[in-house]
Amino acid sequence: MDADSEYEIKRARDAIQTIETIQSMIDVSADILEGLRTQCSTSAELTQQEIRTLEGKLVKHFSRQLFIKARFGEELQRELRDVPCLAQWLRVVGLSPEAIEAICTRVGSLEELRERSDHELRALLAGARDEEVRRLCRAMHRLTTYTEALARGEGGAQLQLFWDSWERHGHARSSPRARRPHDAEHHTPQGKKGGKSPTTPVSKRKQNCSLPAPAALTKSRSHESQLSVRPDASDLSDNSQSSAVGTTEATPPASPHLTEPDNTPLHRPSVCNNNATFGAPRSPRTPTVSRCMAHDIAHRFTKTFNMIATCDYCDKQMLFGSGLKCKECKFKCHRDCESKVPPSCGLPPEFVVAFKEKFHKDAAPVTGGYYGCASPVSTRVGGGAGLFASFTSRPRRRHAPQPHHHHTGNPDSSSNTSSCNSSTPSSPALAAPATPHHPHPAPQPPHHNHSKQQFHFPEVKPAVSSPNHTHPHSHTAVQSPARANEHKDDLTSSVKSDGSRCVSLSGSGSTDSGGAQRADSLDMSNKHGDSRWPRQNSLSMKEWDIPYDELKLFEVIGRGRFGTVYRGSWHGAVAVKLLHVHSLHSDCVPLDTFKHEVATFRKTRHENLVLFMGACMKPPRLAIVTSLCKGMTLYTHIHLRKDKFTANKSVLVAQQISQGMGYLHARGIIHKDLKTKNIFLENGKVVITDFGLFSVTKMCFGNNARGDSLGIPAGWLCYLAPELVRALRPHASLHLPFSKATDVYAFGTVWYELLCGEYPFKGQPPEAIIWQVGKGVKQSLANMQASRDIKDILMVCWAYRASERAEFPRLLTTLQKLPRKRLARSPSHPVHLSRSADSVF
Amino acid sequence: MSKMSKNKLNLTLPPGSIDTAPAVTPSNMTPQLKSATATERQGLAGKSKTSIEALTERLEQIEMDDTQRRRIEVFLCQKEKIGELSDDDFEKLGELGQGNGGVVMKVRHKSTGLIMARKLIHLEVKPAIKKQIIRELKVLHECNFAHIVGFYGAFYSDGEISICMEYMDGGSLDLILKKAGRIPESILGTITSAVLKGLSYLRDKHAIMHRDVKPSNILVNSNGEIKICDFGVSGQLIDSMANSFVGTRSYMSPERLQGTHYSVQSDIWSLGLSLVEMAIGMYPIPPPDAKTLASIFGGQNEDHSPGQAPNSPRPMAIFELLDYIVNEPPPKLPSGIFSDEFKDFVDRCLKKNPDERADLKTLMNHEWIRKADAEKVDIAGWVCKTMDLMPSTPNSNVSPFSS
Repeated sequence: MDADSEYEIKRARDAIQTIETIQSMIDVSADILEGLRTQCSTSAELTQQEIRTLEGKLVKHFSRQLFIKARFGEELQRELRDVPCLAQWLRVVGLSPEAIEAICTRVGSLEELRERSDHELRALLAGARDEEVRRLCRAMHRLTTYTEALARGEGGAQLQLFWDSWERHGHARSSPRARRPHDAEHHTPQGKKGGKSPTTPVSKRKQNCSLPAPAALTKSRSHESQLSVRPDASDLSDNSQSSAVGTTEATPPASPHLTEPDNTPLHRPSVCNNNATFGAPRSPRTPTVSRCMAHDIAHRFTKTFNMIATCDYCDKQMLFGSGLKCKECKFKCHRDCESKVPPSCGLPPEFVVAFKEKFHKDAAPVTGGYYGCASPVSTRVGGGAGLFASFTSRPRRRHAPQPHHHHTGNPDSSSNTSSCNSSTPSSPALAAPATPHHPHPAPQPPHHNHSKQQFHFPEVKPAVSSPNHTHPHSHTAVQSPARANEHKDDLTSSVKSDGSRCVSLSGSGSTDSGGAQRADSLDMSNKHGDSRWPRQNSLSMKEWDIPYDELKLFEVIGRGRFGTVYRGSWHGAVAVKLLHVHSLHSDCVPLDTFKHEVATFRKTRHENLVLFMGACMKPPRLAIVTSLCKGMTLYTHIHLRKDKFTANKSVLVAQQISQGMGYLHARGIIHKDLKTKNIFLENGKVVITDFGLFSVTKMCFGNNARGDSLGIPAGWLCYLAPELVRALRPHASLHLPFSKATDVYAFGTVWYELLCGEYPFKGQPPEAIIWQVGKGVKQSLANMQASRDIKDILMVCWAYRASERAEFPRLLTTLQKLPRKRLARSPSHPVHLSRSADSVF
Repeated sequence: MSKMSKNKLNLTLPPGSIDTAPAVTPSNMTPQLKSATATERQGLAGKSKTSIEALTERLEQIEMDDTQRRRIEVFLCQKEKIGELSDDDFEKLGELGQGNGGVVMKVRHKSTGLIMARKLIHLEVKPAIKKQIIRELKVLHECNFAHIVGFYGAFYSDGEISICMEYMDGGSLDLILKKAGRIPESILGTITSAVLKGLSYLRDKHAIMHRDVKPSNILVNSNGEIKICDFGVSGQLIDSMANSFVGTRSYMSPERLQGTHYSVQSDIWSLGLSLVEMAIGMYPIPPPDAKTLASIFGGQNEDHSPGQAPNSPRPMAIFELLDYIVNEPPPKLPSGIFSDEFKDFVDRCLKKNPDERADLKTLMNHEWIRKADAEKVDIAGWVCKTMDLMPSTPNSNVSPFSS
């Protein structure tokens, strides 16, 4: 014992020493980094390269500190509480002192910060510039990646660990890739995680309509990186990045090609809508930086049901029912692949390949943007125009007749279809202002809830649209002054504003400036008044902020840990989950976080997910309003009514659950509380509820702890993956490391309940479950009467290591492959039971 | 651990599935009990004179001294006057503590003026389940013994099961421990003897194992009585409990944690662990280091290590703590402070292998217990002194004059 403890002490001393050495290296590197950022010209490639190298080094240092520290017991950890230094890390990340202070008051340590999800980070930084949010999210992501690599014992040499923390003034090179981490909820179609966004024709965000600035005229390169998707309304300076994706780069030679009306794919019907919502067209002064030319059109996938084909993405065969097809270009792919498919709608296959390659290259070379250069039609590709012509020349049936006007003078606007195109045929000039969502012959009705749509349209000025209408060529010029002005007015934008060189068309300029003020002021108010809502413009917020008074509450239909669920009425029957606010402290982060998390739910539309309708946000009235689930929960069926589920029924239910969950995960939402009590069965259709609320409610309302003990609701433990169980602590705020993999584990338990009609570890006390699960002991399947395949699914969900658990798409495939004859009643398409199949349950 | 190595996939069988005979699990408990006590319960239900007589008769078979027997008779008389209980019958006097799964209130039964402890357990279950729980709890009517907390009745109202018990003015040993810091060995000897008697009463007369022996489930009063409470009488209640609480302490035996079958031997482990805790004044897992022990027992020149209160366990994740119980050597009493008999007693309780652990009978004959039984320890005085109670206050509920 004594020898052991001596060894322990020595080990601890060594570790502390190592940590201290690393700390001194951090200090040095951080100083240099600071110098590079502030004293050197960050636009210089060399400087950028240096910064990146340092960022990478620092990530490694911090990760090592975390890693070493994590290996030691509580005692040492307490001793090393201030290592790694959170504030220092945040400085290294490149946050402003205010932001650092804000975070430090709310988060105690880097470890704690590391456990925050992207939207939690975003909430922490409410009010900070989006660039800061981006940096933080990305840097945290890097840190996590490397720490994990360390934990796996890898050097992580091939990992890219920088996050580009220099100020991007005019040259804002915010790449969409760079943004992805915190953009997870936005699911940019380019993003690997991209969800179903392609189905939304348009983003309603005003930024989407921001006018592309002409800065690109002289220096194309600097704009290539700006193809980002920046739906955030909150940040003025960020508007520069949020402007049109794929618009930009008014290279005059390119425009001639745009005169071909047939070239215009018209997926994007409603740029004008967007304008309209703000009452005024984006002014020329709106700070907007132009983008490089790129192809960025998301596919509009629909499920295909009876198709056996080859996936255009991975070239593998697609099984019956597992595919998606783009309504526009007929691109086909697996559902699993969907998220990886670049926004290449309308791109001929040969380009798709190139696109795909680029698309998936994570960080791009220093000079090119991350994203901009991903486009095969970047202007740097020499004869960009020619190239462009070739790939847009592919006829697109539905758009062919659309007159093409109004393109913003960007070569790629032809592929990008300014939404005005669709609205102008009848009244080009008036198109924008007052008609939000209607007259567009949109291929699909605009859906505001897909605000993550990163397809940013160039701002179009109705006033000038009619001349352009007839003279496509002149359009470029018309737009120029506006963009030039914009640039000048944008303090953060490029010093090298090209505006002065632009030809100004009289008339258009003046009209624009009028509107400019308004747009600007709107922006401003949005920024300051609404800074908590970085992603929400005021309009969208209203749409889901439900005034409490409008809700009618009827009887209680359920009681949860954190709230009471009422049947209610709000434009029809709804379920209202009223959160208990008695323990809501003024000092807890939650309200912001609550709002942010809630904000992500409204973008979920899936057959197997409850429809999120809105929320009441005014404390003490916090409520979440969803559609009312009919039917009973799986819990009621299984545990109270003791209904027997045949293998067939179980499989059908499980398939739907994995579909719903797969969708949630594709959207970057972790359920965190998947259990039979949160799954409804409506005539055989599965509806999953309560996703993502767990941590919010936990955070808001305490962890149910009583004194020095942790409250454990019945049945909860057996849904918790080993890594969660091991993290349970009797007190302290509960930050459990939820992940997609923990959802999969919980799904395994649901699957077990379906098959066996009871909880695993039935009748065992919580402590026994905690020890066994934490140790990797699984519920025995020996007495379970089920086929090998069915048990295998359990085992793959319950794998001890998170990395070995299957993902939902794979589970779905496996479930679909379960022997056919077992699925005698399977309807023509794979998962969803039609209503008429009531009798099944 | 050798078991684990044979079981490569770490699979377990549900408890009781292999070896049902010695194991007592919630699932096989209930039927056993039902059959054993069905007739008696019927007699009780009417609360007729005959039931009292029958019980008195049975009391004679049980080993109790005259005082103990008289107290129980008085208790039963009082209980008879009360009849069925309901929510309206009570007046709240205060909160006594948080039990597992519910709060315990001190209440006054309005019509009789009796002071009771009312445990409220929040349950949202179907009426059928409620009835089953109330039915299962009725077994408690038959648990009349000097070292078992008396039971007045149970009822369901407004989403909560209420269990009304005898009020013990000294409170539970964990409260006393908090006040006293440590409990002297001589007191512990008497307490242990009482607990062992209570456990064997439950096992022999009712085929019940306690399942939750710990300081907070051992109660004392100013009469010097020592009684155990909160034993797992209703399997359905355990299953229906909405919330359970897991904290910084666990008294669960290694075999139970591992999900293998368990038996009364499991209670022995819990008793042993409780004894160590009460003797040294801190939960002994992980074991205190020499310095901490020195500061506890060092006497006047004790040097409290800065920042760490010697009486608070180091914070551990729940799993870590449980894994310690399963895989590390069992706790033991520090040497040189306690009698060898006490140390030996504890060591025999804290064997990780339940087969090596001493059983109830052996322990009741252990030298330490015999010594404790022989020497008359003034528990009443100690309780009153520790808890600032008036030593003369007899428990009004059991006083023959109270009615």
